[in-house]
Order: sequence, then C-alpha cells, then structure tokens
Amino acid sequence: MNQRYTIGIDIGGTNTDAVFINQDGILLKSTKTTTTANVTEGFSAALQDVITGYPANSITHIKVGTTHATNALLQHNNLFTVGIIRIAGHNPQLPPYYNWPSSLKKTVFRGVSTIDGGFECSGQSITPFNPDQAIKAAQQLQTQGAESIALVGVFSPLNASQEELAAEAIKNSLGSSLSITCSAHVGGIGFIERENAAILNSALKKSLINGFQDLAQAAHSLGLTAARLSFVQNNGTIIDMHTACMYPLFTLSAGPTNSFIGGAKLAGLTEALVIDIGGTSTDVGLIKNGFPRRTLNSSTIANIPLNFPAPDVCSTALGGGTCIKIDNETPCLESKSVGNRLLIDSVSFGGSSLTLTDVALKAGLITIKNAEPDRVSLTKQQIDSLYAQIKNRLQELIEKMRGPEQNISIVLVGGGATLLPPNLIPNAITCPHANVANAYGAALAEISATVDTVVSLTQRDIILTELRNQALNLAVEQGAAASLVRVIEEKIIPYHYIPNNLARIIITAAGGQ
Amino acid sequence: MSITTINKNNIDALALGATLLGSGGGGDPLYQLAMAHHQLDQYGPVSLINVHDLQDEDLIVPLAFMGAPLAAIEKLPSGKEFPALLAMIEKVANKKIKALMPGEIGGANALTPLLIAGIMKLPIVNGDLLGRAFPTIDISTAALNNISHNPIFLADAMGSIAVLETSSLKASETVARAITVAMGSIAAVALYLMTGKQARNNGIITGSIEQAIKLGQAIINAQQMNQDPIAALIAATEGIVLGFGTITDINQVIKDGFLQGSVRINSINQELILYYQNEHLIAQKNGKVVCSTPDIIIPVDTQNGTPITSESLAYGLRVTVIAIPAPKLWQTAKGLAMVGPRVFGYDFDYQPCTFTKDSL
Repeated sequence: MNQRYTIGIDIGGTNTDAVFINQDGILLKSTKTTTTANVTEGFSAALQDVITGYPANSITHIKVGTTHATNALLQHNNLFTVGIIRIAGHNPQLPPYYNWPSSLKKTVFRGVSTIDGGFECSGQSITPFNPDQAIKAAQQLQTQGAESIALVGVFSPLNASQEELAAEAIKNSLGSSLSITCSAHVGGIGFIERENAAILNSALKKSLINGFQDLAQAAHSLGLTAARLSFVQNNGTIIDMHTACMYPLFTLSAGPTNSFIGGAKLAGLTEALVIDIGGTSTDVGLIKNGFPRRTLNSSTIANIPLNFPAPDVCSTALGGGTCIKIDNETPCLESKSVGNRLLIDSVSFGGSSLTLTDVALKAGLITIKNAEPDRVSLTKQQIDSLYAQIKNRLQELIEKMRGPEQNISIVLVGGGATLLPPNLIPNAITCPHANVANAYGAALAEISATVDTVVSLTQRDIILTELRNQALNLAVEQGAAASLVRVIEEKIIPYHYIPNNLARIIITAAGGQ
Repeated sequence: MSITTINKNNIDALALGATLLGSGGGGDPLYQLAMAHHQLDQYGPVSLINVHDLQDEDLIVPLAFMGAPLAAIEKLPSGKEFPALLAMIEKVANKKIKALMPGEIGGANALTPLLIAGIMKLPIVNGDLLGRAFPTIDISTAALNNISHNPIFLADAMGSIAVLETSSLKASETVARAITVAMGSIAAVALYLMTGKQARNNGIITGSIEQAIKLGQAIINAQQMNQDPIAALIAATEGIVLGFGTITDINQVIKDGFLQGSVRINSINQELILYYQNEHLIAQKNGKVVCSTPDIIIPVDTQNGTPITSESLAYGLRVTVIAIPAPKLWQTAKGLAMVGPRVFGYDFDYQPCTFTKDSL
C-alpha cells in the first residue's frame, strides 16, 4: 500500500499544534506543544512528535498556518525599511503612513516619491507613465535608506500594467535582489488601504523569507524531503513556498480561519457556526460552503487599515485562563486572563487566581494531573450562575453571527471547549480532536486563486463567465486538481455615479491537490 | 451656539453624525476624515460661525465633492482643487470670500470645507444646503428659495477649472455631472454662492454642523461608557426607532447612474423594508409605509450605533432603523415638491414619521 500522509501545523501565539492525516482526511495523530521564542524549534518538536513511526518519504505535504507575520508586526523587528513610489500623476493630499502607530512608522518609513502615470476610472492614464521616473525615484529612495520599494498606482486594480512595468524597470536597473511589491497584487480598490498592504508586504519580506526557509530546513533535517511545504492564507487556502515569500502578507492571521474550517470539517459539515474557545479568548465564525464568511469592510492589522477581506470573527474575552472574581458571593467573569501561567496561577494549582479552568475542575467536567480542585471554594449555585453568564455571553455572539440562519449547526472547538458542561449550548456538537481543530483545518486546506478586479458589466454574463474561468484556471495553475476546483465565492459590488456599469468583482476558486 | 471651532476633539463626532444625517447616502467619510485630520494637524482648529455673525453682503461659498465614491477612494484630491476654485470665484464675483460651508451635511461632504478652511484661514458657517444628503445638485434649500444656481465652479486634481452658466436648475445637474465625468468622475464643486442676508433668509439649513457633532458625540459617549448607543441617539434627537432586526435580503442595482434597491430587515414578528436611491427614501413596516423622504431614515448597527451607508449594507448585519425628522424647510408644500416621495417616483404623499409614533 502506498499510503500518503499530510501534516497540518498551526503555529499560534501560545501553542504549536500538529495533526497527521492520511489521504482520506482521517486524523491519525496529533500533538500540542508550546510555541517557542524561536518558532522553528516548536515547529520541529511538533513535527518530530507526529511523524514518529511513519516512513518519512510517505509524507507528501506539510501545511502551515503561522504567526510569523503577526509577531514581526507586533515586535517591529526584522522589518525591511520601505520607500514608496506613488504612480499618480498628481500629489494625493494624504501622505503615506497616515495614522500608523508612530513606532512602526518610524521603523519602516524611508520616504515617498510621486511620479507620472496612474489611471482614471475610465481607463485613461492620468498623465503619461514613464518608467525612467520610477528608476530615478527608486534610486533616490535607496539613498534615503529604503531597503525595499512599494509601488502604488491610482486605479491599479483596474490596470496593473504601470506598476508591473515600473517594477521591471527598477529591477533591471538596480538589481533583481531589491524587494519590490506591486500594490495591485496585494490589495483591491481603496488607494490608502492598498498602499498600506503593499508597504507591510514589502516590510515583512525581510524576516519572513528567512523564517519560511528555516521551517523548510527543519522539515528537511527530519528527513521529510518528499514533503511539499505550503502556507495557509487568511482565507483558509494555501500558497506554495515561492508565493509565500513573494506575498508574506497573505499569511497574516490564518489562525481563526484554520480553527473554523477545521471545526466544521471535524464535524463533517460544510455549513456551520464554529465557536473556538482558547486560553484567553473565544472566536466565533461562520462557515459557508466550507469556507469562513468574510467581511468586506476594511480589516485592521496592528491598527493599520487594510482592504483585503478578513474572516468575519466575533470575539470575547473568555477562555480557560479567564479570571473570575467573587463579588458579594456572586461570581463574575473578568476580562483578564492568566494566559500561559494557567497551571501556576490557578487556585487548583496553588495559585491565587480563580480561573474558568478551576471552575471546570471543581464541577468535575475535566481532570488535570496535579490539580487539586478541593482548593476551589465555589458552591454549586455559584458554578451554575457562572455557566449561566457564559451561556448568555456565547448566545449573544451566536445570535450576532448567525443572523437569519437560525438552523445552522453549532460546533465547539479549541482547548477550552471541554470546560463547558455538555449541552450548555443546546445541540452544540463537540468532536474528538476539537482541541487541534486549527491544525486539522490547516491539514485540509485547499489551493485557491482570487480574481479581484473592476470591470464594466455592460456585457454581464460574458464578463462574469470569463472571470470565473480565470479564477478556476489560476487555481489549477497553482496546483489545484482540475477535477476538484470550483468557485467558492463570488461578490459583485456595483459602483454608482459612474458610466459603463463599473463594478468590483471578487471571485475565488479553490480545489484540493 | 456652544461649539465655536471644529477641531481634533470633535471632528470624529462630526463625521459620525454626518453619516447618520446622510440617510444612507452621501458616502462614507473615511478618507475625508483622514484628510481633514491631516489639515487640522497642520493648520489648527477652524472657527465655526453662526450665519448671524455675517454681514448682509458677505460672500458665503458652499463646497462639496461631486462624483463617484469609487473615484474618491482611488484618485485622492491633490490639494490644488480648492485654492484654484476659490481664486476663480473671487475673480468672477469680484469680491472676497468671507466664509465657507458644506454643501451637504449628510456623509463625506460635511468635512469637505475642512480641506481648505485652515490654510485659507476662513471660518465655516454652521449650516448646509440640505440638512441631510440628496443625490443631485439641483436639490437644495438655496434652489428652494430662489437663490441662483449660477454660476457653478468645478475643479479637478490636475488643475482644470470649469465655470458654468446653465440654462435651468435641471441643466445644472446634467451639465455639471457630465463635466465631473470628464474630470475623472470626481470634482471639487462650489455652488449656490450666496450672501449673508440670503443665507439668513432661509437660504440654508442652520445649525446642521452642530447637530451632526452632537449626534456623533452621543454615540461616541455611549460607546465609551458602555451604554446603549441607540437610546443615547434617540435622546439627542427628536428621532424614533422604526424597528430592528437582521438584514435578510439586499436587492441592489445601478439604474440611471444611481444605486437603487431595497433591503429587508426581519425580526421575530416584524418585517421592515427600506427602499433607497443612494439615500434611504422609504421605510415600510409589515407592509405599511411608516416613514418617507425627506425624513431621515438610517439603519445603525444595533450593537454599537454605527450608521450603515447604503453601500456598506451587508447580509446578516443586525441593525436598528432610526428615523429623524426632516428640517422644517423640507416639510412645507414647496419643499415636498422638491424632495417628497412623489419626486422619487413613489405614489403617495409624505407623512411626518413622528405622527406614526403611537402606532409603533
């Protein structure tokens, strides 16, 4: 038998989780380790743990959702400095980096230059584009200390040609090692948000290209030479090593997406409301058609507005480490958490913080080695009151997320899912391996391609069919099996006060390998 | 009037309140707000004056951006538009400009004069030409009170300027719209230039900037103090809650250049349908019209009170629909002939929404 296996890994802020699945998607092994300061070490440990007992050459895929990008942004280190070239033909009245956190701006910003070109919404150039201006601007920005370049053209989602020509000219002149991001490749309509996305993508390349290569090296050292390493994007589908190095931005915040997809898949559902209860917070998301519902409105990362669709998530401060205070005999949930000091600070472990984990221990819902639930002095009444509060809190989030879909199945996942009494949420499904749903989601991630463009819909059916085919072909080009690929999302946003029925079309196609 | 400047502390409230008064239209002020903040950072607070502070012959210039929201978030203003426009106005009018004013308080344009007032050291008049948002420039309190729509001044980011004399009110819209398209579907416009005396004589809706700041502040305060923003909003206006629920259906098309459609909002025993043409114009509850233009109809996020423009309506959102009475100028027979339901193709007359309060 030629069994082939896939490993899914979710490197989160606290834990690195891994699952080992066969080609039918059956979960054979899983592990949970602590995320290490050097992310690669935790990754290696988790890999080592799940591959033991299987021939290395039978493992064909390693799919990773990782916090690399989030960490780099939050810690502001190992980021490229960025110079911006606006292809605009006029001076946009808002400077770049407006409203950025000042320390991040200081770390990254090395200047902006505006050159001729850009497009009107009619498709005409604002002023004639000249690649020589791009080269000059890039040289100037380099002397100001820019290690990478972000190219941002007006209406480039309508026509990316000027950005692409500028990138080529700069590379030919200044060397192909210079890191350049074309905004049209990382963002949609909205000049400022797309510019922010291009800047962040450029800045992230410094540490992420190395970080991703370290992971590849680690897998290699463990003998996993036959395995293809890929990375989960925040839409829940994967990109290969090469693409991840070009567009590290896309790997930002894949965590919640992985959990939602994994949760629904563990329950065998393509439509579900998934509640992911972790150590410090609970995320609620909606899976439709196998993928998370996304918000169209601007997403914000590290307080920087971006315009790529992020999964629609509702969160609340509720998890295994959530602290509880007793007010006049009445227990109530606090917003703070003991975080990764759970097994030290909780009352059951001799600490002084009463946590949700203590409550579950006292209620007899779980047992943990070395825990002494007798230290917890809660009455049954107080425990019931707490769970009633939690139920209310969760019901509120459920109502908010499911809206009119009153009959959608509810799936509970995450390390904290076992802390709730069965049936606290009526009819909620809890599956085996719910604590590694995120890694399972990563393991099952498919390949996708998105076409995000502005077109005239005067010949609506012809255009839409063409764009659908474009997305399908792109997905196949990137490795999806032609027999599995399908359109998973289609959004049409018409624009008003504009001739020719212009509309933004976002079509995503996906399929397994 | 207690507010004497527009500054870094009240501009967010102004943007939020303006979005509410937009009745779903007028555009999301996100970019305008960032640019206005940037101007305040550079030039400091802008003084807000009452129309009674002006002399009879003082020249007031209402300003706006006209065109497509799509173009507004790609081709940003260059900063050349308004200096060129104001210089041309002073040349044509042969008179110094004494104050600026938003042409439209509803939506992004509430902030437009702030892009130039600081650097020119001009005050902004606490008022506007609509008291809300409407889709075309032939609608205004100035037009209602026979203030000439001529001349109209338009400028683009590249420095082109157009000065228009149009043959009729209707032509002012069609001709200016065509020039806007030629300017890249976004143009700075100055229109319905008037004197202090004309403004005082019902030429404008007075107090609308202050009203927007107060509404926005009510929501922000409630959010910060963890109180119900809807209750705070109702307390700050003469508005009422028309209903609440979840958006279950959005039917949207572009017709004659305008975003038209309907949105269905359901809760257990009520169904609310809003009909919009850029702005929400009609609210129907369980099959019966409960509010209509020119009253302001605005869905807000039930949780945090944030107003939702017709462009950002999304399936599954939980909203509460608020109605705010229209300015009195629009509730007259003459006003309704310009902005009542029949003007927008609906076959019934305006009923003030407050009259239906008991039946809710």
